[in-house]
Amino acid sequence: MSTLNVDALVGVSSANAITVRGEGSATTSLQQGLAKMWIHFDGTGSQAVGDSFNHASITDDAVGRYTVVFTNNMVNDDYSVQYNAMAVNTSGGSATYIYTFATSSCSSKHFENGTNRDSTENTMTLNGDLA
Amino acid sequence: MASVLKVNTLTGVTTAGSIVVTGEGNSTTTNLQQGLNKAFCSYDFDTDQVRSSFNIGSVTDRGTGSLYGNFTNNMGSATGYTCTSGTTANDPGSMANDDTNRYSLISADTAARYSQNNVALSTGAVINDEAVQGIIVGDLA
Repeated sequence: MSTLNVDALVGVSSANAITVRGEGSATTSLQQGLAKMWIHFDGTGSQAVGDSFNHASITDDAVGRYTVVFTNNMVNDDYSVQYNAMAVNTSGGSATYIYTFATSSCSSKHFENGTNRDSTENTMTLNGDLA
Repeated sequence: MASVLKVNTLTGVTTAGSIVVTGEGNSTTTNLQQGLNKAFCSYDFDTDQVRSSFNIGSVTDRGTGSLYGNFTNNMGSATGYTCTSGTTANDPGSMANDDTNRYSLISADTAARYSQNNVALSTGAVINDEAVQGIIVGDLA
């Protein structure tokens, strides 16, 4: 087994493009395949963050509504975010989604039975292009 | 001083498609290839345009709120990958007057594409929204 000790990876032809051999015969992109931000936070109280990556701060916009600010901005507001929140109620429908996309932040909502709710368990993962 | 490796392509030596990476805790290792997302897509049903994507060759609009995401490089099998989804209420930023709940169902369809339906919770009907999103993790072909 060969082991490479390195702190940083930079593309040669293009600094921002490194190809990775996939599990089969196809190749994929290292940069495109990496999540650019993720966060796990408690939406009640003071929005305690359990763990995160590329997250600078979080604000409580209203009940069930938060804005997550990035440390390193995205290149545009067309990125993709998967957001999930654990329902407080044990019955009825719930929904979570991102309602504002910005290069430096994204804002979310969580509803249960048509009413905004703070959830104790919120997770987001962002994919897209860094600035 | 940090060491910087300048390289265009990473390929495993023992197994071409398997590179081990030391994790954040410095004790356990993880797998580079398995940890990479293999595709993502954010689709605007209002304009029928892809907002952003990776490894998506095209999107097939199957009708209101329903799509196929067609991969550029296929996955290894229809059962060899997972999908997660996200959606918006309607237009991003329409917080003041649009509190209609949505959910988005996404699943592997074939090795070459995933399928996704964007649904209004209040009616159970598929509906067009501005940013219907999916992320794909699993084994490439």
